[in-house]
Amino acid sequence: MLPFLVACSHSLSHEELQSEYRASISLASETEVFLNHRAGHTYSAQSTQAHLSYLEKQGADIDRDLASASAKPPDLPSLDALKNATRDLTQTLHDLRSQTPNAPAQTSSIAHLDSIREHLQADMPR
Amino acid sequence: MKKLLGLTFGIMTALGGFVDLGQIVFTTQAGALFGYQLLWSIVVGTLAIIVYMEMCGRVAVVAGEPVFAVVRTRLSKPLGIITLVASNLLNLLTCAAELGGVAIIIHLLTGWPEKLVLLGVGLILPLIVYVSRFQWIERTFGLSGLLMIVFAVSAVVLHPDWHALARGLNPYVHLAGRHQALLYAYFAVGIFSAMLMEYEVHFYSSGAIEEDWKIKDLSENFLVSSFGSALGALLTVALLALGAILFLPHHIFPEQLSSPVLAGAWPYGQKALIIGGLGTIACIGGASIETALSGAYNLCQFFNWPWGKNLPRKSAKIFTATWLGSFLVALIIVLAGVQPLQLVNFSIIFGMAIMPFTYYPILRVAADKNTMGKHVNNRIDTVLGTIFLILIVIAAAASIPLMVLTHIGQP
Repeated sequence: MLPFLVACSHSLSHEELQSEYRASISLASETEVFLNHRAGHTYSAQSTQAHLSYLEKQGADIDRDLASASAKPPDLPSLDALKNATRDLTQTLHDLRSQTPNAPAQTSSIAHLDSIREHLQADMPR
Repeated sequence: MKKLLGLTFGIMTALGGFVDLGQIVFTTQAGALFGYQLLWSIVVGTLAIIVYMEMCGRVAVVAGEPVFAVVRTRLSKPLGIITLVASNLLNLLTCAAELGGVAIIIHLLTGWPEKLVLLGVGLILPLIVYVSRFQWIERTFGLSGLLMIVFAVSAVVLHPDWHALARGLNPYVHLAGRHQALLYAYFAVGIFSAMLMEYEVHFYSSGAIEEDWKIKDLSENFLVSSFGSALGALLTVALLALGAILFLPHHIFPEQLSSPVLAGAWPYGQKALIIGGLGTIACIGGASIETALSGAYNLCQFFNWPWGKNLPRKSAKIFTATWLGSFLVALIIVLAGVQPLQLVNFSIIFGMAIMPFTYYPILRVAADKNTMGKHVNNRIDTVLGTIFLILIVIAAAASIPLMVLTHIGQP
């Protein structure tokens, strides 16, 4: 929703940057929670793929809007870190959709998502 | 049996009215951000819609006037036309969003290509409306919508914090910072608005006439409006609880329709996903039908043209062309790539802004002894109607500023 508003003005305020961080943290967390949940429950491949594709699209939307965004000088390092993390997150979501679900790959994806989320939480401007 | 089947009208109106695409995502987001703290807005919204649905049904039966005939006679012509145009634009946007929502759920359940599904939905729903009598539409979608009860079961099985839920009845909470306070207000207004979406009362009052209700059916009117709304409220509370239980602890702000639908199946997996998904399709599909028909009802009632799903199509050509056209335009909007959730967020907030122009004339007519005779509002109806109208006006005034200040509810 926010990307819709900021599409015209590409300069993010401090508060908007925090909001973008929260959006990426939320996406990483949601994917992680869903993968953990799927490990203990039966879902059809179609349903899993469909949900992951919506999450991937959400990531791609954030990624696209961040690509053209700028921030005030003190926030620039945080914005760059966010851009990198979101790109990594979107790529992970893309890989998740294309790989056949198996336990080792899933564990590795969850660990990677966890690491992305922790970095985002650490880098988020206060 | 007839009375029991009559309840399906209230169920479809309420489920399609406030357990629609917007409410499903909006309420889950509210739970994900504020836990159970916004429960009070669901309760207030439910009471308000029961009061006004009952009034609409009573006015329709006693005065023979559905909502837009009331708008025509009680507002000035320019204001009436503005209300008509705004309401029908909102109906169109909401219809487009709901069609998109149905396609998303079918894609989630089957994996079929979403655009193709959307095309199919855009053809099948109008076809169902075209070939079915009003009563069969309401029964099919009302009863199928009951499958959404799986959301309530899941919420209970996941052990909500009942004490925190009870504390959610108190609107006064301590919030950290201006942005959190604004978000809290935004979601309170949004939930309230989604429960009072105008097309519900347009559809309900027109449906009362379609169903050929008589004065002797007035006792059923309260039962139908309150039972359907209470059921819708129960599901809305379940969505709030699912957001609070599954998303809040993980800092997740769900932005996809698939997220709350999966949350509704969380304890059970695929089988519950199919049941809940089918219920959601019925509710969202019902909402798209309500909005398309409401657009046609509004137009024909305002200009006093023949209307009615049960009339021979030759006798109500403009009515039929309008709802068919609404489906077509809605389909084109969503096929053009506009995101259903963006559409519905705008329709909820702008719907709130014009809501007083729908609810004020209803209250005026229902309290008018000359029109209503012995079925005029009693003192309690008028006091409650006035209190809720004041709340509607306050929420209407606050809705757009809150949307701007919170960047459309972005945490």
